[in-house]
Amino acid sequence: MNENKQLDKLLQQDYEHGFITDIESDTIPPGLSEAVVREISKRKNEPEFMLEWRLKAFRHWQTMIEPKWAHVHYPPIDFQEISYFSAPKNASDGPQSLDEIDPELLKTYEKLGIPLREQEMLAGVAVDAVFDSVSVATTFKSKLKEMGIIFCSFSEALQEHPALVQKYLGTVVPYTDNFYASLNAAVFSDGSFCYIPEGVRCPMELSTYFRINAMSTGQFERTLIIAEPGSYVSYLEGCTAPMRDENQLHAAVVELIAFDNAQIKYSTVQNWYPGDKEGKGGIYNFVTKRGACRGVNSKISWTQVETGSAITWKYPSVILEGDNSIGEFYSVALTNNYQQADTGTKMIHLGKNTKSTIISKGISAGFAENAYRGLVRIAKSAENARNYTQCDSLLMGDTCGAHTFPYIETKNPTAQVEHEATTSKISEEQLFYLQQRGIETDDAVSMVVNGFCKQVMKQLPMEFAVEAQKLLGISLEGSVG
Amino acid sequence: MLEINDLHVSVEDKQILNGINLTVNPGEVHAIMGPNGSGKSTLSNVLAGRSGYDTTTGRIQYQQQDLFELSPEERAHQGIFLAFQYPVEIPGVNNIYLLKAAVNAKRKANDEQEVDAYEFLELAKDKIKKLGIDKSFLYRDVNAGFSGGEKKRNEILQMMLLEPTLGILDETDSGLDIDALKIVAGGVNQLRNKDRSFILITHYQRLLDYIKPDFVHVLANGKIIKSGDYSLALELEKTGYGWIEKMEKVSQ
Amino acid sequence: MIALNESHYREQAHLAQAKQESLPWLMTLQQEALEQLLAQGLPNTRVEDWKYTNLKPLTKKLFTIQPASEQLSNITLPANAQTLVFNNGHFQQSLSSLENTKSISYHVLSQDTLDIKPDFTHELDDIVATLNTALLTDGLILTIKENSIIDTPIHIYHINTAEQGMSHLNHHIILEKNSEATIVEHHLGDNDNNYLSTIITNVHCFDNAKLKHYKIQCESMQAYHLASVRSRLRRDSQLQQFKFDFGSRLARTNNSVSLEQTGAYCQLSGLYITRKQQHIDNHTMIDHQVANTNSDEFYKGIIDDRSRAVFNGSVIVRKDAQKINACQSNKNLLLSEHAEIDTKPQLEIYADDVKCTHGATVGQLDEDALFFLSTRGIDKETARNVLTFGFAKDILQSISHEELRLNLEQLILAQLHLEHEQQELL
Repeated sequence: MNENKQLDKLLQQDYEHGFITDIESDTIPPGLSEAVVREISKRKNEPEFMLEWRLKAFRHWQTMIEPKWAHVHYPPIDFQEISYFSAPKNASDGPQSLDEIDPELLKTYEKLGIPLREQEMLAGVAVDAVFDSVSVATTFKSKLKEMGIIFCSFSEALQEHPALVQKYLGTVVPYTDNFYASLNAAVFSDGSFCYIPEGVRCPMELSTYFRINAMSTGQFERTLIIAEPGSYVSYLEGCTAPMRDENQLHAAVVELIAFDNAQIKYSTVQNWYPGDKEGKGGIYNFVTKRGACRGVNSKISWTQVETGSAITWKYPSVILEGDNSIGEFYSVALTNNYQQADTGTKMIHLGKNTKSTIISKGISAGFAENAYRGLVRIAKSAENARNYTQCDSLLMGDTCGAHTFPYIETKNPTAQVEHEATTSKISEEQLFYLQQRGIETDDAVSMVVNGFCKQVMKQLPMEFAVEAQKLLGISLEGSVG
Repeated sequence: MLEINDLHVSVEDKQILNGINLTVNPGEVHAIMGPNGSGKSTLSNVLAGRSGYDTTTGRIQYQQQDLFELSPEERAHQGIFLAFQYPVEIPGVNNIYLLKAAVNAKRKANDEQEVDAYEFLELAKDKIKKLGIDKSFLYRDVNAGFSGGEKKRNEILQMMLLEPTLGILDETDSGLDIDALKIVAGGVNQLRNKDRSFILITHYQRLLDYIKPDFVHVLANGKIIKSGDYSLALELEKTGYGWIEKMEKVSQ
Repeated sequence: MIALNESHYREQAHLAQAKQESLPWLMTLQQEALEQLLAQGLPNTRVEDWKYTNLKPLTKKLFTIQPASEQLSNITLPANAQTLVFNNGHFQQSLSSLENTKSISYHVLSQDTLDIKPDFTHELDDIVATLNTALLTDGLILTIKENSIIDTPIHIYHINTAEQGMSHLNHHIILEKNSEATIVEHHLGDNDNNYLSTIITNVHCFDNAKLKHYKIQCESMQAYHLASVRSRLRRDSQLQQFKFDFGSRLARTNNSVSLEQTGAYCQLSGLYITRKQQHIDNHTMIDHQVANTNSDEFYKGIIDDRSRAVFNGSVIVRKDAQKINACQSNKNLLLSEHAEIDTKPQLEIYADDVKCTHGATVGQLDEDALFFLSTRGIDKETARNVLTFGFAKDILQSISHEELRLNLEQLILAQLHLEHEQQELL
């Protein structure tokens, strides 16, 4: 109690003084305070409600402590050391040519067959940003516009459609939700906004064509997708090539809302820089992703293939409010060397006849730690709810770990919940069989692992799946000797 | 083509093979027969390069090379094919995908042009027709949910596509009904020519009615104790393996 | 944390310590435990391990240590059995029939004949143990001697007869090399008495020993029951454990098995049947510390009325503990709209050459089976009972001792209120 009072007092002081100094540089100096939050909002010329929301989030964040329950280990993050606002990256900041990039990274690009121009872009090399894809993007944008679909950056949405943003922002992931979500709410830089009007089926996978220019979203991105009744959208996030990024911490928030009979399919292939073989560097990927099936017969599917980042910590979840709504979670999490992943999902069943499916495949190699953590909650109101969960772990090498922490809470006697899990070593028999057929060890491993992950991979849109498959192979090269 | 000299092999410190000598020339078919536990499967696994087998003494020359210098996949590239006694299931991996990957791995290693998906499909369709296998076979996961007979036929299909120089069939006939056995034998007979050799490892003489071997060897207690021609197989069929066991007792 | 009434617990601990005057080392440990208990208090539901079980109700009443009662009404002990009886937490020599022989020896803490010092090193590791140690009323050290095979089960009765009383016991069961025994722990209470009973059972199985360990919890429906069972298995030893929860208002068991040497194997079976407002929480942990150790775990639950059951089963495979097979399953029948089940089966694996599986289900009676029975002319109520009993009975399958199995069948029928139908069902 006492502590809280003191804190309140401190906060009040900040408030009294307000923000006076006007900083001229592109980047706000490292450190986090109410003044910084105000400055971010001001620079982005945001509407008043946005600033208010950010401030509430910031004040709440100050009362919170960093969570420690995940099965991951990392040195403490100094939040005052981080710079919370950077203008678009300047040509002089990044490496000047591909010669300055980690050769391992370049090899991976090559294996994935990424064009040179794109390689430069992914690696953060400063290039003149005139791409064919930009004009392609513009063409598609006008087509989407005709159908009433809004697909733009979050900043743009705040300028062009403030009422929509205000109506839905934070209704799935409130700013009080958790430590990193609160931090994101206070300081988020940009992200994507997507609105599909009633009855519209979005004719293309969103974001494929925007891959190049949607990249520099920064450290605290925020995505909001709204699917009005009867609409459908498939959204792809990330790219399959590893992105070199100097940022240590990524704390993103994604909110999805599906109304009656609407469907959202959200696919992620996450391949941020995982650090080097000794575990130095790499991204901390602490993300809050949640969807709300608000309407009857609505459906939200999360598909993720996570092979990057030094630490991945995320639980894409679905709140099944509408009767007959469906939640799905398909996940592949691969960790090698010193990577750590603690990932899974939450399926919260509230409506009648709600269904959820969880398929999780964890692969652990090297010195990596890989944990599945999931919650299935059947509330009293969820008559006839169904859940099926399958989580399998594959171990490669005796220095890695695989863990499974499922929570099942059931309060309704008509519910049927089924959870199955297995953990085993990659089969030497399978590898030998393939080798006897002339297939090289690395390819054999890749083949067995892809087979193990097939249930998840087939959920991905075709062109994404092909690259993701290659990625699994590349990430495991040399892990079985 | 293949020369095995005084081969001694142990598994987890237990001696399994006690001095095998065997020469296989191009075009020959050798049958190796023997009771359970005589070391038949150990021999085929050693030839294919499975780990976990310690060769204490002896050597194997294959096409003028030391076989032990080659990894399992290199042996495969150079034409050694093992039809497994218990083919393993690989969930999630499409059968045709494996077949194509295997054919192309071999072609690549031998500096030959890889086949594209269309060409390969034609090739595979031709072979399955010859083997009397349904087309759906190609699109199922490797051996997953296959019956015993289907697994064995899948091994033969792979063999026909890979066209080995030395084919080793490890009890491929076990558990097959007569129709399946004919299909398996038909596959081998189609491939038989003056440059290609086979080692048939079997418990029963029945297979040899359909694939006539040039030589028959009896393996017992990790040693070839008797060699002869096809008539030896007939003799074994009549007398069973009892006399071998008796002989072993006497020698002990 | 949940604070405890300090003066009351100091007074009670003082009473408890006075009993152990001949064991000064124990008195010191008890004092240490008391200070730790008062400083820490009881864990609240924000502590992950106690997320689903609230201990607050325990602090609403001031339980006191009571003497053993003169006679035990309502409870008939089996004749011709080897028994050890504890009443209100005190050993009752007059009611116990087990005798010290060449094969079996036992000591109790409250008797001054104690010439061995049991291992109390872990007594401050968890809160149940700390509470138990601070207020310890008595304890047993039972040893099955090397190479002894004891065919007749040894029954240990724990009977609580005092309203608002409390009992705190700490047992050590030791099976020396190559020995075999069946040990049955019974927990019984009087009618609807409200009391607190805590008990720690330490099991040590030495090389090649085989133990069948039963724990049958039939406390009063108003009782609080907190238990810890810790089993340590040496080379090639085997533990078969059967755990039944029928009684208690609130029961929590921390059940851990350490497979410490190669060849050790444990099989844990459990059944909880909860009714009314019962809250039954089973935490199990199987720790594969070395290579070539195996485990099977199979828990089932039937949850009815307004009751709530919690199952938390973890399997750990330590680094370099290769060649492990571990299988875990938890199946639940949820029978009432006001009942709740929270289950959390977990695996933590740090070695690679392992085969570990776990499964958990929550469901209802099979509609197809119900329909099938109805087509055979069986009425709905009976059909439900038959299937429910069948679901529960499954757990008794591997009990080879017939008398024990029959007794347990009776208990299950009683718990399901099916006594009158036993003829048809059995």
